[in-house]
Amino acid sequence: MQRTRQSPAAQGNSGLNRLGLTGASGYIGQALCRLAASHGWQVVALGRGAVQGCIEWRPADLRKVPERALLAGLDTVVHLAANTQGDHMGADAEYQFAVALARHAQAQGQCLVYCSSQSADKNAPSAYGRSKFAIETALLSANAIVIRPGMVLGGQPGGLFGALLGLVRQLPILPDLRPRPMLWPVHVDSVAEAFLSAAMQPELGGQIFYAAGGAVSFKELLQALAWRARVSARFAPVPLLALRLPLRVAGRFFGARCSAERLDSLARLPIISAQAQRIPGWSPGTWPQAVLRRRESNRALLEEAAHLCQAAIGARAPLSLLRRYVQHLRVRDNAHALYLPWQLGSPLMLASLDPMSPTRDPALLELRWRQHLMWRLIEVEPTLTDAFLYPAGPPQRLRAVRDVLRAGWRELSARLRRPFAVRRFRSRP
Amino acid sequence: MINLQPPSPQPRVVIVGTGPAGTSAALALLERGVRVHLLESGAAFASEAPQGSLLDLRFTSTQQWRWQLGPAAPSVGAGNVSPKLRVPAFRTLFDGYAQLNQIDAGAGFHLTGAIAGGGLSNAWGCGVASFDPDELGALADVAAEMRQSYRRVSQRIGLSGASDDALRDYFGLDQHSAPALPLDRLHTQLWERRTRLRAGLDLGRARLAVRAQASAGRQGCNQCGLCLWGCARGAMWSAAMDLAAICAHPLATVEFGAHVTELEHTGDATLVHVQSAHGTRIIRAQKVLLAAGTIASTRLALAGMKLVNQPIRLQSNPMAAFLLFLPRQFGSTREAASGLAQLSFRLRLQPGAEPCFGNLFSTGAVPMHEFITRMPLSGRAALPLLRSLLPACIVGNVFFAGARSAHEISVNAAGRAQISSRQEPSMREGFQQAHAALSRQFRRLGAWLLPGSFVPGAPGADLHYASTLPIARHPSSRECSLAGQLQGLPGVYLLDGASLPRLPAKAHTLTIMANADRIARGLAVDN
Repeated sequence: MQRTRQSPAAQGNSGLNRLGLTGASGYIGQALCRLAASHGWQVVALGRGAVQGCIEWRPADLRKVPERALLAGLDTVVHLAANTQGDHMGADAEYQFAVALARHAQAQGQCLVYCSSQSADKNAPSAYGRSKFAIETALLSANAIVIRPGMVLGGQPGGLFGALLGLVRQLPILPDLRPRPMLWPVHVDSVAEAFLSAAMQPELGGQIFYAAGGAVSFKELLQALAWRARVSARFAPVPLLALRLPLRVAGRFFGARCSAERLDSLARLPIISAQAQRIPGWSPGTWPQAVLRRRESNRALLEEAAHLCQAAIGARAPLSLLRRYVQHLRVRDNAHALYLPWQLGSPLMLASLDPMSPTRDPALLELRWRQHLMWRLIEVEPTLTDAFLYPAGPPQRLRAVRDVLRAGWRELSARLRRPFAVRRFRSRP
Repeated sequence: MINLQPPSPQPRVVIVGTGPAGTSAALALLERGVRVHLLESGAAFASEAPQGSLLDLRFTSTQQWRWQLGPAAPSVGAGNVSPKLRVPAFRTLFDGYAQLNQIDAGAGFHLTGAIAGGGLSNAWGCGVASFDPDELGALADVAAEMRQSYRRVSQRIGLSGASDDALRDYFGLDQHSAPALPLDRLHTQLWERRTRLRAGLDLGRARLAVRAQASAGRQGCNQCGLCLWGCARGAMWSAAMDLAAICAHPLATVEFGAHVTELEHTGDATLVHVQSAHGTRIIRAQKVLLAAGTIASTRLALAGMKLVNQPIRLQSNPMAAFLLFLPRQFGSTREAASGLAQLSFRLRLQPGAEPCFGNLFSTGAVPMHEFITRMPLSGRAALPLLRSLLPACIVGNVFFAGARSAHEISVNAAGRAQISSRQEPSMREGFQQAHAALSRQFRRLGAWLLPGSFVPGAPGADLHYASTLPIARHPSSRECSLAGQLQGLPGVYLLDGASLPRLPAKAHTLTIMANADRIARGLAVDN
């Protein structure tokens, strides 16, 4: 990773690099504060209160225009704070705050990094998106770096992530919105890395970057959250349009939190293409590992093992076999789950993938390696030996013929299923 | 240079390597009272071979994973190499060979070697044969001594397979062998129909270095089927057995963990540079016997002779594997059978050309996942198919003469060996012809060669490396004399496959051992 300025810890000089942070008590703010402090930065919280991990607190309020002294002695400023009320007055004040901040930073030669949103657009359906866009434009002309994170997940549940997690835990049936909205999830720690990385490359000023991974459908996201929360996910297709009216009504009563606007912005989220600019040297975590903690990652591997075993011989594997699978993967130092069970659906889908076709896809090659490992593990399991060998006794032609027919039937259905299986495997984000 | 070696009453012979060649020479010298000093890079090989019967263990043992899979991540993936190379117990044998011996194999050459007492014979298929005068090449001049050595070695290690069949003279060992081990049901069918074969393919019982009867601490073979993973009964011969006897001999010194990195010739002696856990040291010796395995020995020799960047030819046996299906036996269950070759065959593709040689094995010898992962079917379909078919199938392999291989080995200025391999265009044709001929002939015996099952092995995967610095009647500097002495490096004798004049398709280990025995006896006489 090319860094134009070394992190303070690497420089070996204390008291040199100070990072000013607004919104330090927020979802991303806390993660960034932790990360920066662990890399030797001295974090100065600019906001309503002191935050754990920061060395100093300077009062600041989004509703009041900041003074130059707020940024005194800082090397970089990251502006995460945003107005969550959704009212016009607040949006205006927010704009003024950001513009003043940028002006002060530019005058003092400090690098400013602004946290915008994926929904920032001139003609965004939500006021939030429009206001973000306006601030972006102003800040870009002041040579600030603008980062648009995707949908932030992981860590302590907060923001939209927390809301969805709650939804998943409470609703017995989850809505499978049609047409399926796509999201670009990214782990909050990855986002914090992106911000910190940008803060160290001031020459990137005046550009927009994305901090997001690949595209994931809304349904898949809910499935992942349900899996993580250990609740079963049942879906009913719901057309997006049908939700608008009830949400609009609810919005009247319950305020901006459940508004049709939010739904609209979800449905009309601008696409982040794979070629969209990302901070040089930064890469997002892969899905779904990005939202799995170690405990869950172990569980994911065990489930993958059970799935592979079911795909291989159609029988349940003893726990010792599953554990040995995980152990072999950990020894090999490549122990992350290739997929989560719902992504491929039934184990038969997995069994239908062509074992022999030449491919360069690293995920497919890794999957084949794991299938081979599973075959070797199954073969040494005495309880499963009768899948491999007939018990001793006189020859029985009929039994053998039945097996050949069974093989033919299975191969035929595997081939019929193959194109769907390949598509499902490839469409994993 | 101060000589720190303790004074010895007689000059000692230094032997590099404790594989079949090294131990045969050591035993011959010890018999005649010559002191020997053996240097082995690895440790004494501790076999963790499973005990019992394969079929019983498959159905009942919960510890199977230990010897079939091992604790670390197994080497998985269908490379076209023998399943032997994936046995976890042999990992210590094979790991780090290329690195330790400073060998860089090119992408097209699959290199394997052993670092342990006993060498590659710890993991071999026990096939034995003697060479006829044509195959002996320059060694035909000393045919009488070779015959004597064949007899000595055969009687020492214990052979079986004697049978009055078409390959009796081809193997030429029946006078020293115990009768053949019993065949299983599938091989019996082929055996009983062998008269139906036409000219071109001759079928015979496999001649193996396996004891049929118990003797001298080794038990006889009981067809338990665990051969691939090592023989706990001691029925399969390995040089480690001889090594144990040598270690106990008063005139022998065996040093493990002593790796020879260089040979240097000075006016009156050879300096052997040895690297061990204690550091590096130099041994002065009048006579050095190189038996470190063809490739390692060749590297030492070329570096010692300072033949830098001059490639010499390296031979190996191109090989292929195939699967035969016997419809008459369809529906039968697996029976206990030896995992080693039961029948062998000689295949003449063209009259006058060097014949090919092959073996037939029970499918029980090979773990099933090797088949599953090679079938072009989804795994769930492959399993019932294989369960029904494999008990009626026989695995075969076929080797071509070494003259058809095209590899080269050279040493660079830093002393590293480089091996490169070319694709011989005539080899592809050879494989096709062999495929067609074997298909035709075996069909007469009621066995179908399954389509798509004839798979050529990766070059070098046969592990039969030989004939780099061959023995010749009038040797040049890159050849050895009939006494085994390397012309370019006086005082150094080449005992292993590197000095074989020719590499035919048949098993060559016994010939290497006989040659080593002959050379050692010649040296003892000189002494």
